[in-house]
Amino acid sequence: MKSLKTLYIGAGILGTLVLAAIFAPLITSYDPTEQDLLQTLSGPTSAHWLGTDALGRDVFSRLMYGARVDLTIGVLAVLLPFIIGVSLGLMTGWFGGKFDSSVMRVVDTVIAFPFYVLAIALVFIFGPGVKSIVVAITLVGWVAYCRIVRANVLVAKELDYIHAARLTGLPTSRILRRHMLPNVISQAIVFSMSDIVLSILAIVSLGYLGLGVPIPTAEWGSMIQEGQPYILQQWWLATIPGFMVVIVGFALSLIGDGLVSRLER
Amino acid sequence: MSTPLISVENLCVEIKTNRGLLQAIRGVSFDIDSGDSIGIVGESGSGKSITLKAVLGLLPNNAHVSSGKIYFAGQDIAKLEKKARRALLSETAGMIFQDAIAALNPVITIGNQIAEVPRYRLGQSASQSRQTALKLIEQVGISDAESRFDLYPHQLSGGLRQRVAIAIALSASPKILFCDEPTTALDVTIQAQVLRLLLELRRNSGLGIVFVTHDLAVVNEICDEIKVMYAGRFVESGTVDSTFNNPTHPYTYSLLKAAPDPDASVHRLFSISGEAPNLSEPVVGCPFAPRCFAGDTHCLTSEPELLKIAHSESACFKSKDHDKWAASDSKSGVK
Amino acid sequence: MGYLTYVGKRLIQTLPVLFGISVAVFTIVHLIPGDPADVLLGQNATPERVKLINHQLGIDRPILIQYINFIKDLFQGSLGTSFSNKEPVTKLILGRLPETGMLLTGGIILSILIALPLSILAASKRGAMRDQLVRAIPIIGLGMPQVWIGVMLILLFGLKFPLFPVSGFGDTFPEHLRSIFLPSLTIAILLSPILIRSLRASMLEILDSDYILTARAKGISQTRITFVHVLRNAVIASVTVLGINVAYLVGSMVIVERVFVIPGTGSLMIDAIARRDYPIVQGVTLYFALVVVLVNLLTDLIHAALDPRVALK
Repeated sequence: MKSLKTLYIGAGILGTLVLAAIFAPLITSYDPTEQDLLQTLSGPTSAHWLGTDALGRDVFSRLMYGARVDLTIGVLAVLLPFIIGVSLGLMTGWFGGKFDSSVMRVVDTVIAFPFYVLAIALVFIFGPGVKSIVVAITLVGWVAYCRIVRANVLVAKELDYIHAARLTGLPTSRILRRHMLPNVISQAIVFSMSDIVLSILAIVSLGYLGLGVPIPTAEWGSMIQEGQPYILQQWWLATIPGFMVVIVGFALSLIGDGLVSRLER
Repeated sequence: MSTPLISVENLCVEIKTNRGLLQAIRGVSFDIDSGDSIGIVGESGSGKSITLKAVLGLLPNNAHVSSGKIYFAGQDIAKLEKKARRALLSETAGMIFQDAIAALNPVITIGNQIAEVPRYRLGQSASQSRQTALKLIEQVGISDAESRFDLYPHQLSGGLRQRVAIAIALSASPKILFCDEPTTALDVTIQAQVLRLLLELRRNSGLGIVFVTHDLAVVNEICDEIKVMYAGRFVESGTVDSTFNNPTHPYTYSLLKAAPDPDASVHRLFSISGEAPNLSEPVVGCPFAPRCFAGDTHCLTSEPELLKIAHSESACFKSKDHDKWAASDSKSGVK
Repeated sequence: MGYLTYVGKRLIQTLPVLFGISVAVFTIVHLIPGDPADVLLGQNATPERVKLINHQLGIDRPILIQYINFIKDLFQGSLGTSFSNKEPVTKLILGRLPETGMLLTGGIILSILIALPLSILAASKRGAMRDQLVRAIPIIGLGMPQVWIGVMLILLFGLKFPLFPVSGFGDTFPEHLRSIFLPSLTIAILLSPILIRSLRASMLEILDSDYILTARAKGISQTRITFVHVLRNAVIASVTVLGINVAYLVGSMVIVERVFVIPGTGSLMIDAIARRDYPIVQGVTLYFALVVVLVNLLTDLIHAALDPRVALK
């Protein structure tokens, strides 16, 4: 019962944000990149709910349009690692042997690289932008899914219903897809919730460093960076974008916790 | 009559669970004197371990004594100050557990675990406490104490671990040893060795024993008295001899039938059908009534008290008919 | 099996990882589409630099030879020469060692100082108010961007209540300590939610264990139970959890250095990106991977030293 409640609250918060991001043009009439140099750093007014930034851009619109960028990339960036990691985890766990140990060596190597260091190196190679972020997250992210699923497969492999399925002579691919996958994927799904948070954090951090989504596109990380010099006068400029990330993280945590109790029963 | 070492009066324990409050112990009274050896038997969930832990103040966080009194040497332990209570409790009773490897701290050598009480509570010097510990190690039948002193629990076999656990329990020189199924996890031969050790300790140093188990054969071997627990209460209490030969509660009768008879050439597997009642709901009537072969409608409406009957105590309305059960059983068989 | 055997075995286990790292770092540059020299240098491409980079990469030679040369240089401690100031990359990295080392140590110490007491507090009374509060920390904390935590700390303790410097590293050791306090705290706030989540679970396990019951049954004091029986096992759990998260810790350090303008290795890397100084980027990437492997190795060795079960398995 309680798990359902956390699930719904989390989904409600996230849903509201997603709707706000989708319908941003309806909620606000300002273009998030339109500058108004006559009205810079204005406080909250009825026209500009959260004031304007140093270039006179409407902060509220930038937050809403920023949600589009951060949420979309955050989710997209997790999709590929999820698919790669789950498939590799299934196969390494199932087949074992040389294939397994060589993939595990790759896993060991990837784990040694701090994500942000690798991401920055890749941005260097591919240039700043969405593509580099997604590539970096994919290169690192699959490892976690692979390990989670592999561990589960190793356990499930010895269970009777899998033995039974094998005895019936079903093709391996079908056993893996129909019998194994549904039983080993739940933990990976739960993890993907916190992984989305991690990838949004990455986008924000790279944005702050000026290595993420190129300016002037509205993005929470670059908003924090742009607001930092005015932190004493207009504290909300840098504070609120970060707070948005906290809210997203909070919602996804709730969803994750709710899923844990729903799925792992 | 002198004051008993431990006296428990109408003890009730509640456990908080996801499904609400569970009445794990529902009014249990008993006395333990030095030199006693009492076996408490019952199915899992009947409250035997909880009883031991409640008496020694070792209940888990989600459980608490909701009513009743516990006296150690005539003193109400609830009224004692923390430090005095801890001293009194540990000087009176020690405890060993089912899983010895879990009961030993994995990162401290066994010698230091045994020497801890002599060193830090009894105020012995480092070398004195080491000597005490070495003596204890020998006392529980572990040879080569010197070289074993510095080993870690996982370096020992299951039987040795349980012996170490006993040595730790004895380190505070208690008069009674509470044993929470200490042999269940062991091989049969090792089990026999540990039981023999307990018997020796009893014989040589007059150690009292309270032995919780579901294994009636073990009780028969090392206990003089038996208490049968069902749904958080004692349903029968008496000497081992009389109870085994002539049970006065239908549950005890069924348990004895369920136990494989070591002498019988043919092992008949017998189990009591039905389930123990859910203690998170109020108990109406005799909790055993739904599974009982002797009960009638009266048993479903009120719960019997533990009363003296013949040679023992029994909580059953039908216990005066206990002689007839065996007779009728031979015709129709207990279902 | 003794401790030394374990150390040996653990060292051998790192060899394939080191090999993997060297291959990965070597490969990164070969992932570049088109002419690497042009891409690497971007607008800064001068014929001289293109020549230099082509020489450094040895693009014209077979790939295996290139790799062997790369390893040969590595063993001589050479990571190439910086494009922008012609200094050896190894020297540049080692020059930033104090900053990085202090920040890493400070972050780890503060993380444990925050996470361990909170976990013990929460686990000692499961389900109580204080447990609920501590359990809320990861739910909120995990979503806090490291840069944002940094900016908030600057606002709070640097500007509103100016207790600590908000940028730079200072010149003397006490100044260093003061300067790295806020950045270390940022790392600690970032890491604590992760640590608390695992540590609370470990603490619950420890406090619920029979060996704590045994200790209580024999009547030793609560203080002794907490500090001898609980804490040692809890520290082992902390070291393990920390080891798992080293990479995240080191990566975040790069970002935090930037927020607090600390001239550490992370800043070296990010500055190099703006200048398209390829040898530095490659060198620092390798360096950080080595740091992670080293810290991981250390945590494992500490774990084995504290927990007799590990080395004797």
